[in-house]
This record gives sequence, C-alpha cells and structure tokens, in this order.
Amino acid sequence: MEYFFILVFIALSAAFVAGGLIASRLVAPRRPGDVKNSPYECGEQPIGRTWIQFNVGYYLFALLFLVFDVEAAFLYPWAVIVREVGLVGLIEVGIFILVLIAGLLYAWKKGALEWL
Amino acid sequence: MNFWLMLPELVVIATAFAAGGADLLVADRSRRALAAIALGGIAAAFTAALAAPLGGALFGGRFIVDGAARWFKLLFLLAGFLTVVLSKDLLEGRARVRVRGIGFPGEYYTLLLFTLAGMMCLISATDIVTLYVSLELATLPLFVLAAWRRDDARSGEAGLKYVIVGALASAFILYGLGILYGLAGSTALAAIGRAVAPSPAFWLAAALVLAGVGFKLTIVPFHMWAADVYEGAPTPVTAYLSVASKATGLAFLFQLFFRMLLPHLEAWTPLLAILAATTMTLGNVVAIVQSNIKRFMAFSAISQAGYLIMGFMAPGTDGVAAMIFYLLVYIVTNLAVFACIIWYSNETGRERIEEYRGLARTNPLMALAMMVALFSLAGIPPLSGFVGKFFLFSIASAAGCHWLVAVAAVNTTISLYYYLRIVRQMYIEPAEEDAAPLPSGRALAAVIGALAVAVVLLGIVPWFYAQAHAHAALWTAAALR
Amino acid sequence: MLEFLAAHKPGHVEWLLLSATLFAIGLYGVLTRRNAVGILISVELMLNSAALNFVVFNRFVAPAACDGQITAIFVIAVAAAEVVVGMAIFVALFRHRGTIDVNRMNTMKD
Repeated sequence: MEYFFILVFIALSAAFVAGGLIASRLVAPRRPGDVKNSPYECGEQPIGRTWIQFNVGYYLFALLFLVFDVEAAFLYPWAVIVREVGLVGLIEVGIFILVLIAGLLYAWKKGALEWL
Repeated sequence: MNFWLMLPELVVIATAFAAGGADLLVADRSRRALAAIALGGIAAAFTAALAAPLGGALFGGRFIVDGAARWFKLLFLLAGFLTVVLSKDLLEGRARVRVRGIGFPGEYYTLLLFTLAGMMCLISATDIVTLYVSLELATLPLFVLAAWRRDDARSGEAGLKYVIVGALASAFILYGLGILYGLAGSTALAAIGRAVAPSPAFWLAAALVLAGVGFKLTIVPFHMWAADVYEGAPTPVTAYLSVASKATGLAFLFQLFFRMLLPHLEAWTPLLAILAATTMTLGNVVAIVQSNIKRFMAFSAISQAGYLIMGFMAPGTDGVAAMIFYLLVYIVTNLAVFACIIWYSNETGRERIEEYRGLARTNPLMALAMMVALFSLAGIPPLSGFVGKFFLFSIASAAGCHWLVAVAAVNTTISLYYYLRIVRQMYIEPAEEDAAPLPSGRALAAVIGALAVAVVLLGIVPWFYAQAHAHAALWTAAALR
Repeated sequence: MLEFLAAHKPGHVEWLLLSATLFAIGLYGVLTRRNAVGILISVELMLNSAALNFVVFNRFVAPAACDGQITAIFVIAVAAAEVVVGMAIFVALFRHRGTIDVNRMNTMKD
C-alpha cells in the first residue's frame, strides 16, 4: 500500500512540471528579441563561452569531502545500535575515524588544502 | 580472539602508515630512510608470518590462517620486498638516466604496502565482504602506481586503462558474488559451496566471477589491457604487477575454487583446461613479434598465467602444492629478469630488445643472470622453471587432460624460441664499438645475484617443494574434513 | 492499472530485474562511451546494481542476518574509492594530454 503513495507522488510531481511548461507555452505571449535570447547571468552581459574549466582545487576538496561523506554510511548503522555495542563499538568507531583523520592530516600537511 | 594470527597484516599496515608519516617528517635528503622502513616492515611481517600458528580463525571464522594461506602470504611478502629493492634507485633519483616525474618514495612505499596488506587479507578471507574489500585494497593502489609518472603520457594512459578495466572486473566479480549470496543466503564461502547446486543462476554467477578474475589474472580473452599497462607503467611497477597482480588473481581463484566451489570443482576441469590452453598459446604467439621488452614480458606473463591455472585441475594437495611452488618459482624468476631490465633501463634508458645486443661482452655477469632466468621461464632443466612446470603438467596429466599437456609442451618449445631471441642479442650480436661496461648499484647487483642463484637452487633442492607440499597437505586435511 | 499497482508490492523478481537492467545499462555505457569519465560513471552503475542485488537478497532470501546490507555499505565505500582514484588519474592525464577520450589512448601500439 505504501508504494501506492509513492506512485501518486511521482505522478503528481511529473504533472506539476509538465503542467507548468505546457501552460506557459500555451498562454504566454512570445516576442523574442536580442536581449531576451541571450542567457541570463544576473542581469549582466554574458562574457566568453559557458564551457570553462574548473580549478582543480575544487576537485581536491570534493575528494576530501567524499571521504567523510562515505564515512557517514558506516556511522549510521553504528548509531542505530550504539547502546547495544557499548564501549567496544565506540572504540572501534574511534579507530575508524582516527584513520580517516590521519588521511586528512596527511593531505593537509602535503598542502592539498592550500588554495592555488 | 587471538590477534597474533593477524600480526603479519597488522605489521604491514603499521609499516605503511609509518612510511607515509615518515615521508611528512624527514627532510628531502634523508629519503633513503623510507626504503629502509619499508624493507624492515616487510621483513618483520615475513618473520611474523613464519612464526604464526599454522591454523586458526578470527572474527567468527571470517579470517583464517592455514598452510596454504601462509605460503601465499610469504610469497606476497617476498615479491613486495624485492620490488622495494628494485624501485629504490629509480625513486631516489640514483638512476643514471634521469626519468622525469618519478619520485615521491614515501607515497610509493605506502601504496605498495597497502596492496601487500590487501593481498595478505585476501588469501585469509573466508567471507564475501572481506574477500571483496581486500581484493579492492590489493588492486586500487596498483592503479595509482601504474600512473606514477605524472608527466609521462604513456604512464597516465596505462593508469587510465588499468583503472577502467580493473573497475569493470570488480563490477563483474561483485555481481557474481551477489548472485552466489542470493543462492546460498550466506556470505561465508564454505557455506555457499555447500548450499549451491548446479543451476543456470549458479553458472551465470560463476562465469561472472571467473571473467572478473580473468581480467586480474590476464587469462585470454580478458588479457588485452596487460600489454599497454605493462609498457606504460614505470618498470619497477611493471615488475610488481607481473608477479603481485598475478599472485592476487591466483589467490582469488584459490578462494573461489578451493574454499568455495570445492564440491563442484570437477565440473570446471574442461573449461579450465581450455582457458589454460588458449592463454598460454596466445601469450606465446604474440610475444614472438614484440620489440619492446616490457611488452614482451607482458605476453610472457600472460602465457605463464596459463601454466599457473593448471594447478586447479586437481582438487587436492598435489594441485595446491604444484601451484604454490610454481608461483614461488615464477616470482623469483620473473623478478630476476625484471631486475636486469630495471638495471639496464636505469643505466641506459633502453627498453627495446635489440638494444640488449652485446650485453654479454660488456657485462657478462648480468647477461648470465638474465640468461639463467630466461631459460628458467622457458622451462629448461635443471632450472626451477622446468621443475615447476613438470609438477603442473603432471597435475593436468593426472586429471586426464593429456591434450593439454601436449599443448603446454608445444608452448614451452615456442617460448624457448622467443626467450632465446633476447639471449641471442646479448651473446651473439656484436656490441657497439664504444660500448663500455655499465656500473651497477650494490643493492641491485646483490638482488640480481641472489635471484639468479635462487632460480637454480629452487630447481635442484627439493626442500621447498616438500615444504609446500607438507603445508598444502595440512590445508587439505582441514578443508576436506 | 492503478488498482494493480496499489495492490502489488514489488517482489524479488522486480527488484532483480531492476538490478539486471542497471547492470546492462552500465555495461552498455562502458562499451559505448568515449569519455573516460563517462565510462567510470557507467562502471559505478554496475557496482551499484551489484550492491542492490545484495540488499534484495538480504531482504528476500536471508532476512535473519544483515550480511547483504553490510556488503552494500562496503561496496559504496569501495566504489567511492574507485572513483577518487580513477578521477585523480584522469585529471593528471588530462593536464598532460588535454583529452581523456579513450579512442585516442593509443600511444603504445607496436
């Protein structure tokens, strides 16, 4: 039964998006012009191509973020049974996090966190 | 819980952290200490693995130690130790030919040690989770090592190909393991082996896992990545890949066939025989036309993988013992050849086969060591390669696959031809006019000498095979109980 | 249609079909993509389909233990590590070659 609500939800959200697009296509007046056709960048005139290269620095941060992001996947199951596993579990999770922090410190010391 | 059983792995992991930490702390001048740390750690782990009890289990039977696992661990550690020695000169910038973009010994040894730890856990794992995680720990750092030369396009390309193929292989393995888990309802390998019965789903799962391991072990038709990765990776990494990655694949296949599917192994014999035959034949035939020595060794390694999997045709002590012994021989012999290749490329930067001409005039001892190792790879008596092949062939013969023995014998002859190509360049072709003897570092020369002696000793001293056989017998006694 | 869906809970067959479809889509992507990042994404799809398999079998075959769910968590972690390593190599290669088109990775053919 609970899957039925999900289905209804999916249908509703699809209808919401499609309805908006179709309604604007049908109702809105269309008078295209040079200014209106240019991509909108906070009211400024766009400069250059939209295909730009991102600084690799972003990538390094994403990489470090990913480590702790995935760590959460291991912490959730532990958090659910934290009372049952008690001190032993706490110590084990502590070791786990310490290893990850060692990695972070390593990256820090190697200069991965310096913004180039 | 008897954590002493895990001591070798823990020592290796602690050494990895120590090498990484020391890299942060020591000055650039004293980077040599890093190799010493790595070598000391591996030696300590080797001692610990020798001293550890020959049977026992940890974590509710998810991690076990037995005779076969101990042998695999010792072999992994041996390969790791020798690779560190072989890498030292290049990483510390003591090679005569300056190679750009190589260095960072701290990270290099750390990653190498992590792969070692992964391989050692792999052979002790008795559960899908530990098996898969240790397999990944053993292979992920290898991708980075293959791409080690950051400003060399070929190294990067090798890394790219390796990472794609490796990830694809692990997806295949994981999907197959998932189906096996579904069929058996348990992640313990032994329980899966007892619970599954031959069915279409079982064969699909086994085929997926075998395909994935085939990539790692470079079994034809899953071998195509090997040549490019071997050629592009830094030479010490190629040496490590050729023995360690192969040993990892073999260990995984050991887990799959002997720990999990032992009750069904008979059904696999024909397929294994066909895979072995095609692998050794294709590796040999393609090796003939290669001109780059690293590429040549890649195809030679492919054909050796074909010989290695013949050991799975006898589900018992003899098969395990023959396989372990040949793995030992293969590690020693292949690393002896690679030690010479690394020495030559360090001194001259040359990697083409015809550039080895006249080596016997300028450096007779090096040429002799390389010749002995090449002849052992080809399987000429009384060298160890012959003895190892003899045991493997007798396994295939006992399993009733006489045609496979014939194919393997023909292949041995072909391989003799192409190994002789290098020997001919070294001994018969004249040296260049102004060729002077090349110097060699003390550590590298010592390793090459020791390996060449070991290649001979393993062939004539039966003690090693007897030990492997005895430990394998202990394992079979426990496994078949 | 709606009544059928309302009354029908997806069983193991549906879930396994989903995971097999994901695996096939991933494999198709690996074989057809030319950009290395696209290939890596497709491989992730395959890994996740395998992880889904483990969870489904845990739920329908062996609900007493949680081995399958644990495996899935480890698969997520390993897949993340794989992506990190792969992307690092791709970035290094892109800086050097200016491309990660796998069709142009042919500098080593004899």
